Amino acid sequence: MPLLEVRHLQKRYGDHLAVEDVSFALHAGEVFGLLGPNGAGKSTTMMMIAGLLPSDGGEVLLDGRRFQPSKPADRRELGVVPQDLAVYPELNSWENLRFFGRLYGLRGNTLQSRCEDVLNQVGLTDAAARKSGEYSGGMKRRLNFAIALLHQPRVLILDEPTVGVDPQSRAHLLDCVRNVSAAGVGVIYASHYMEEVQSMCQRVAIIDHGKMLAYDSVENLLRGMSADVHIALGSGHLNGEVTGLATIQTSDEGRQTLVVPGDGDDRAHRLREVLEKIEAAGAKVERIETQQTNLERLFLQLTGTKLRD
Amino acid sequence: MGGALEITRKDLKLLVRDRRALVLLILLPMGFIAILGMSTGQLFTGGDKQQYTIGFVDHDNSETSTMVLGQYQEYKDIRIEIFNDVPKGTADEKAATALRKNEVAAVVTIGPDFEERVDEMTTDNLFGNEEASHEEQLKAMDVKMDVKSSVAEGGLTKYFLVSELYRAIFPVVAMKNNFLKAKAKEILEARKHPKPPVAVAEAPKAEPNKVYQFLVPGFTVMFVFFLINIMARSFIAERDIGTLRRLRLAPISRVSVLVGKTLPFYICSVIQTAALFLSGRLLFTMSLGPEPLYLIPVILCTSAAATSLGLMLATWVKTDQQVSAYGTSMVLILGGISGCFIPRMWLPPLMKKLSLGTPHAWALQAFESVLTVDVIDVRVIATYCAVLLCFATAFFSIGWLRFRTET
Repeated sequence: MPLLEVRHLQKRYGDHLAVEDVSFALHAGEVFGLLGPNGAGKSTTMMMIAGLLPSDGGEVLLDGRRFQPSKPADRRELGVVPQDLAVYPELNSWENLRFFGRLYGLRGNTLQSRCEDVLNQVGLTDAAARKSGEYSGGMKRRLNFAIALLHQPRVLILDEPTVGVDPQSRAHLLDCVRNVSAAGVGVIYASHYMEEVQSMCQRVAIIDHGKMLAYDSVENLLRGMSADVHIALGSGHLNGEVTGLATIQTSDEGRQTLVVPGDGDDRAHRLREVLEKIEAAGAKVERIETQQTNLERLFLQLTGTKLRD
Repeated sequence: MGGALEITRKDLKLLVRDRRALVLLILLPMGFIAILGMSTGQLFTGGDKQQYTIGFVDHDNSETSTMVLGQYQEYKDIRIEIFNDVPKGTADEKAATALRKNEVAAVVTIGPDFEERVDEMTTDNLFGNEEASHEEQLKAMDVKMDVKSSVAEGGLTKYFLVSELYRAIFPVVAMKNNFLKAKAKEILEARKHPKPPVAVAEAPKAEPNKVYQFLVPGFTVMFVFFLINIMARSFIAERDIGTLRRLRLAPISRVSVLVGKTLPFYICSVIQTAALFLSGRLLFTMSLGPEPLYLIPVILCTSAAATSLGLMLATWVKTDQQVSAYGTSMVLILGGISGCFIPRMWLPPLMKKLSLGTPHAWALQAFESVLTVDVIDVRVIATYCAVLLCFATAFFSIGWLRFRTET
């Protein structure tokens, strides 16, 4: 049984359907990716899961029973790392952590040891006595992350946790996410950074304009894709001969590369036709190579547009 | 409600660290009241203790003119400044200059023929010449009085000076009247043993300062409601940095979040009000009424109404600019309508009725019913407090409804 199950979630703002029939399941110890551009509906989906926003349809199940955000016990199961740097800049890390820890019912030695643990996890122990307002963006993100871990939730929701973070802090945060999931926590990881999602997540849902476009393991999603074939010409030119079969990229030196898309059942036929056109035009092929498939290409293929930042 | 107390503790910590907020809450109102008090000339003076200074020029230097001086000096609230004629012929000029510079409220000039003229007077001259104006009577005695003051005050000053002049010369003139001779003799004898000065008005020693009696409650109420700006800004800050969302994710109820966000400002408001009344008492000698303990429920209820209004505003506005626009306007307009700037008794009847739509007006009335009465009427205070609590409940409910639907 999944740790958390999202079934047919829906959110409407007037006539605009912000989230339409989003469903997925999260297992303990899994990092589940929610990939989509800004405005795709990721944050709305996560706000509905966390109970910050009422849904217009669908439900969320935790351990197979309906998740009720109005119940404090249910809310304790969730840890949320919001996209905002939701920490008090006038307070230091200790004060921030103790405050939020007490809100979650932690007291005394338990609170102290949890604060020490999470500070150590995110690498802020040495800077913990400094006001968080004096921290770098990366340190603030790490504190933001630490607060969500404090009460040891079973489900962790991360909303763009690495936005505006330096590479070092990013690596640290991603390591933390891996460690947390290794400890059995189910993680929903929303991002528009494809490389991060591809490297972190076992399964992914691609979402755009509120709709789920794909939902599977990263491996399965990419398996269905064929690589584009890039044919670099050493000499000669083609113009309208390959229209509909390939796209032409021209380098600064004027050399052409013909890109034959990997998708579609007739890709072998198209490749053969393109090669015949090249020969007929008297051009010479310098090299032929295939490009690595990735989630960005998958997204491009699914939506016809690049991921918006 | 443990979560509410944690939020309260955190916000109090943030407030204490925010010196600007403290200045705005405590020091600014005190400074404001003090400046207004100074502009009315009553800071540290105790109001009625203020002395009038009367200039006195004596060209006669006679026994009778000395009696007049003695008569004026009987009043401790009046300071007599004697302008000596040294060098000769300069006394009148010095007195005129002092009057022009408002250093004295009036100048009494006794002419060189004063004693001679008084000796010639009979009691008929003193009491029977009703048709003659003060000026004519004074001229007949070779006395001149110059008063520089407002019309009403100047008239009263002159009336007082003339009356005391008559009292001074009465025994001298009455000695010529057989019926009054014995009494006159008695008075003249008594004058040989002068009494200590007395106050013009037989006022109690710690007479409250009436200006502050109005200023302190009025501006205290206004500044208590000024708190709504700081409260709204605190909410906006929480919203902007995302911590408000984090509070709502915590396993505490939304009412706890609201109570937790309101309570620190409530505590602040109570301390602010108490501090302002205490400083009003210590610095400005205002009265706290016959039973100052009744101020406590009024302060608690006024603060409840103010902080609830702040909460309502906080859930309504979205930006600092909106706080500045709506919050400040609200404070000033409601303060103006309710009579925070001028005594409520000066408000026209329509304004008085309109003002009852504001919590400020009820707070002012409640404070008046404690501060300015001789006997406390508990039922009246309870009514005002109940109305203030109704305002508080209404504002808090609206704020809560808004907060419930906030994402």
